[in-house]
Amino acid sequence: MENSQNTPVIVLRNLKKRFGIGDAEQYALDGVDLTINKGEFVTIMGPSGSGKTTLLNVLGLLDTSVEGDYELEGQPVSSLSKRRLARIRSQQIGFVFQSFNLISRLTVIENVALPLTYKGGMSHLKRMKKASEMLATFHLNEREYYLPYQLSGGQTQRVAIARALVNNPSIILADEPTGNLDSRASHIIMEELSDLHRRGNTIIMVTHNPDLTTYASRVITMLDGKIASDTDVLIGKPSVDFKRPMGQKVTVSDPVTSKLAKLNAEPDTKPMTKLAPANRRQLKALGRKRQQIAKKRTPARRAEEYHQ
Amino acid sequence: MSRFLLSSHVQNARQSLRSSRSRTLLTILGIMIGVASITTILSLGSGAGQIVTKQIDALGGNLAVIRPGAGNNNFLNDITIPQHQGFVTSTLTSGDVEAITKLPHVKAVAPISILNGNIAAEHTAPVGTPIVVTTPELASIDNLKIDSGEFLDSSISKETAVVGPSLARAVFGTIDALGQTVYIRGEAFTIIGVLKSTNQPINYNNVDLDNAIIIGQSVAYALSDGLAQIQQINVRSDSVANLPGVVSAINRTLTHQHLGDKDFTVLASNDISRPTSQLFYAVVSVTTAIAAISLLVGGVGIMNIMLVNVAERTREIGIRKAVGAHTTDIVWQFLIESLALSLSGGFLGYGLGYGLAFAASTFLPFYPSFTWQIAVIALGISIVIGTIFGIYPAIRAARHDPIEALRYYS
Repeated sequence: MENSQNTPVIVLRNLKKRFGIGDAEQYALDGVDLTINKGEFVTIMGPSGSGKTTLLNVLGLLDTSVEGDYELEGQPVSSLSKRRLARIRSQQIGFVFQSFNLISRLTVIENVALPLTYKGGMSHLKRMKKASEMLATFHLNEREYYLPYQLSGGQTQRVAIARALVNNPSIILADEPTGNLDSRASHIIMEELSDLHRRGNTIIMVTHNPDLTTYASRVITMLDGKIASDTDVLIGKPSVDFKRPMGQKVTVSDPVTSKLAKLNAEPDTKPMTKLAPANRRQLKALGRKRQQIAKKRTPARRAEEYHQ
Repeated sequence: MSRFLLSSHVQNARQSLRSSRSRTLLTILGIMIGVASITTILSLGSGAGQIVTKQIDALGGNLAVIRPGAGNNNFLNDITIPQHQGFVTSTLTSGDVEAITKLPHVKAVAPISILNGNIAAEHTAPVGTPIVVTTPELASIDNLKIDSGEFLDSSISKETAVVGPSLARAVFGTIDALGQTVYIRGEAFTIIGVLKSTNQPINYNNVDLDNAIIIGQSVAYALSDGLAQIQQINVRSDSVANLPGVVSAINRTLTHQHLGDKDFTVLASNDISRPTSQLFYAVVSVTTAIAAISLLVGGVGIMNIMLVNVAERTREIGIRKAVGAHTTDIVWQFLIESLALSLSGGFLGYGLGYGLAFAASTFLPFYPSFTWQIAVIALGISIVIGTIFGIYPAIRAARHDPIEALRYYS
């Protein structure tokens, strides 16, 4: 691993991404120079609109209409055909999204096997076997034939990570993977990611949570489409206080949501569909109360919450 | 596209269509109705078109038919010229019949003239009931079966007639009409025979013998002021092998008889059924074209549903692209889904079409025909419809920008 540390996987030179034209023109990425070596765990931080997600989309070859140079494992991306880009996405890059992005009508195992379908050359049975093996490493083998909505947030994100890893990609791009999770689930996900990092994968993670940078080997801060700071950090034990919720949307002041959060934080082996009748009643009552509160919210307040 | 990817697309289409059952069924129903109507029309039309061919085949294949007027290959003429031509003076004469009779290898000759006139006994026959004027040979040429009595016989009285079973029922109130008197154009005729029901309203003689009365030639001249309007001459050769020779001999003889004018047509074996078949095929083509409109409507239904599917699954498209799907993979995924819809409709419609055709054939004098062409047409058009109406939604799906698609919330 030490030898591969200095091999650049991603090289960006004066990368620019422009949105809009004329007076409305603005740069989401404004001259980004960045080199990421193999085996690094990079966290990208910065306020909303600083270009973190745009950068991740560009790195993940989802967005190719950019100015400047982008070399992925020594190959200039601009010279690659669309088919080649799709192949690279399928074989070399694994995506983990904040909103999990599992296909709701497919079972857990089918979701995990999805990248293998596009890799080609594997029968349905082989794909399922491989997906099952991958799920087993995330202790989700009992949930293989569940549908995504039957899983807890933490489980869903672990499925999403399993999907990202099923093709053995060298680069994992994670866009706020813990953004929708409570502290306990976040901890599990971060442990999984750092385990992957220890196994030699390159991980690039966008986050809002400064506490998560403790897992990273390098922290990049972005501001207005530019890299504001780029620091290497020593990997140590995470100094996160897990008693405090890390998820942005969970606020202690709201008694309803905190109670819901508490319910969500119940052990993962207890899916929502198998709640005891008493809990079910409690949950229904909570749902009703929550709806009443939601009705009282003004549009301005809702918009504010959305942007948080 | 690899075999595995194809099977994955098929499985995916099945899952996706199952997840919205009622919508899928309604869309399939649209295609099903279109394909069913086309199958029904084609199978019945082809069945009807084969009626005369089958009759000719049953008669042994050594039959030739001479019709007035120059023949041509223009099928529009075949189907537009009125078949009875009762108001046109025929170019065929009794002299032609005599000349043909003398030709070698000719086994039997029977001219057919059709008169119109009042036919009355206890009841009056419906207006337009044909009076067939012919010779006794018609029975052997057309293989006519007698239910009771006998066919025309030159050795007995001229004022005799043979009646079809349906007409006997209409005029005498019973099929047992032997010996009864019937008045044709005011002249009295004795019924000497009742034909067995042929149940062939469509035939190469262009007359429904079940519903006709047959009289001899000599007496008919008296009825029509000595003018024999011969509409057709049926000729039977002594063997199938000699038929081509007989046809060319007839052509030579009649051309000579008509002073070099080729104002007649000699049709042999399958050519005899051509005008009737073509008439049916023309009708079938037009009705199929009309039925195809319903298929177009079904196709629009497919396009509509596929566009809804694409819109509903925008996020899924984004996810698939993010995990490595190429544009063509997405196109195939949605195209296979629309093909699954149209082909299911095609299969079900084909089955339903035959069901309807058989149901309809209970009221018709023929059965729908089973040919591989109809199956190919039914499934072929479902594939074409599925492709034409599925390609636009599929391309639209594939063109989704992955980033935009991932942001989409359904």
